[in-house]
Amino acid sequence: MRLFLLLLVTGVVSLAGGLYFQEFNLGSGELRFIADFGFGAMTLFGSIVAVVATVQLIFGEIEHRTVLPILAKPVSRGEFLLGKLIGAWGTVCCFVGMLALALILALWIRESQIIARSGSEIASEDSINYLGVLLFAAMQCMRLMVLACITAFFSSYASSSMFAVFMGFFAWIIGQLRGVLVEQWNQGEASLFSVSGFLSLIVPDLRLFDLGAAAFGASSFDGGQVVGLVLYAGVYATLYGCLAALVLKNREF
Amino acid sequence: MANEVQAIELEGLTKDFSLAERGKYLRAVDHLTLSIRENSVYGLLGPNGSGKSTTIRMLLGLSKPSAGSASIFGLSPDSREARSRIGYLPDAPYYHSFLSGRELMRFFGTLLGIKKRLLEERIVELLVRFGLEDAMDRKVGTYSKGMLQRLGFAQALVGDPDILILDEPTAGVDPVGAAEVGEFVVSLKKQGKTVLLCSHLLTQVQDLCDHVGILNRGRLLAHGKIEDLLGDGDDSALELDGLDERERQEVVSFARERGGRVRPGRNDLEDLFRRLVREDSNQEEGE
Ligand SMILES: Nc1ncnc2c1ncn2[C@@H]1O[C@H](COP(=O)(O)OP(=O)(O)OP(=O)(O)O)[C@@H](O)[C@H]1O
Ligand SMILES: [Mg+2]
Repeated sequence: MRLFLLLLVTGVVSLAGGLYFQEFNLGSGELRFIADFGFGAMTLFGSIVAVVATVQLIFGEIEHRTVLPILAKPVSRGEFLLGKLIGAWGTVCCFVGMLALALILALWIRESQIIARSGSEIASEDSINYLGVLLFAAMQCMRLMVLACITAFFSSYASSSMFAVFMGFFAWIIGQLRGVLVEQWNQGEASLFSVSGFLSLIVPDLRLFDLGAAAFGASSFDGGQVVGLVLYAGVYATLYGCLAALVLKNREF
Repeated sequence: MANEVQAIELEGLTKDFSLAERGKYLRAVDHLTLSIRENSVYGLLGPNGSGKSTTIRMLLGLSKPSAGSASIFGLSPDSREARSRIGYLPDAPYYHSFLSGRELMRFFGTLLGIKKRLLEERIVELLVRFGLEDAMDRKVGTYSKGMLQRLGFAQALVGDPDILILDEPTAGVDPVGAAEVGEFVVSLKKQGKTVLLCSHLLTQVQDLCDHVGILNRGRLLAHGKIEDLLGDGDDSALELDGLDERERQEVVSFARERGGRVRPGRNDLEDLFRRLVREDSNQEEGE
């Protein structure tokens, strides 16, 4: 909880800092800068919260042996895991939601300042689409759900929290890089194809969820793409959730 | 007799832990077979590392047996119903330190699916019964060890279980508290509950248990009623009663003349325990 607050404060402070340093005038392009900055903060701190909260909730419970009296009650391991995942994801969603609100607030303040100063409307390609910001936040929540499930999988297997946290971050990085990696592989030899095919199947592409562009200008977002992403997240979350449940079921206490 | 309901039944229960070395095993529980009648108090006794806690973990489905089986009222430990009928006091009291005693009880009660109204009443009743009245709204992290143990009892009873499995109930509890634990076990039996008690504090257990099993290195060395165990455990031990000092001396000198040895004192459970464990360990060295 303390960590959560710390991260929240960091997020808000960095946003405020971004605002402050924007005092020298960059013109309307600065809205875009603030938004990118905010999106980056959401992605970065959101991922940290997702990994740490999941490890804390699942492996922490095992490590502190508080899991024994819980599992001695009529609670199956799957239910235990599901409860924990919902808890972790809830935390993450709250966190991302707060960051999104802070970002919208910052953008709004800045936008009205700029309009007041120049007395004219902002060029449409630089204007901020607040719904787009919310959409970005929602997609981050989906992305972090996948990350939380992968971390849960490592947490059920781990014998130290270091390992679980490390693997969670590792999964995050690999997931972010996956798009690039797959491209490189596909340029390489064909013999690698089956391995790379398998790997690219089990590793979700976390960059797909970065819909930052939707927040700018009059860009309309594609409903089909959003639904596709939600399904994509659902499939990977279920896959890793089930794997985690399987590992946990066979774990000895 | 054969149709009598057995609260707990273990059949050839075995647990191997693989060691760091490949292909080597530590046999923590070795073909343990025993049954515990409903509404009785069973004491599972054994030195440190003899496999008591491991047995209990298998009974609760927390750990899988390598061989053999355990059943609770004929149900597998993995079944939900079996576990809803068991209250478990863990050997080490670790609970969520950021919750208060009352919140923790509420959490466990909710896991058991108890109705809210009933649960709140029961929580207060149990916490008061275990002397945590003043501490129930304090964080569990601030509890002393004995208080945690008391909370453990309260937690084990929240679902009003038919079987109570107590792993070292007197660990960390002061002598007054230990006596209270004894009274508590007796009262549970009066309510028709079955109690499985693990301990190495024999003198405390002696008067409580209907049956005991003595475990060493995972094997059951002896089991049965305490009187029977002490009775036929040692044929050569005699207890003299109702003689005056002079007559007793005569008996002693008679025995000595015939080459017998006379030891003072009574053979109690503690002696039996020590002797069995020692013999078992000697045998191990001989092998
Ligand atoms: N998870 C585990 N991995 C490996 N070995 C284990 C594990 N748990 C227990 N053991 C071993 O199994 C044996 C029995 O342990 P157990 O905890 O059942 O003893 P116990 O009878 O409860 O002892 P105590 O009186 O100290 O509580 C010990 O030798 C222990 O080292
Ligand atoms: Mg033990």
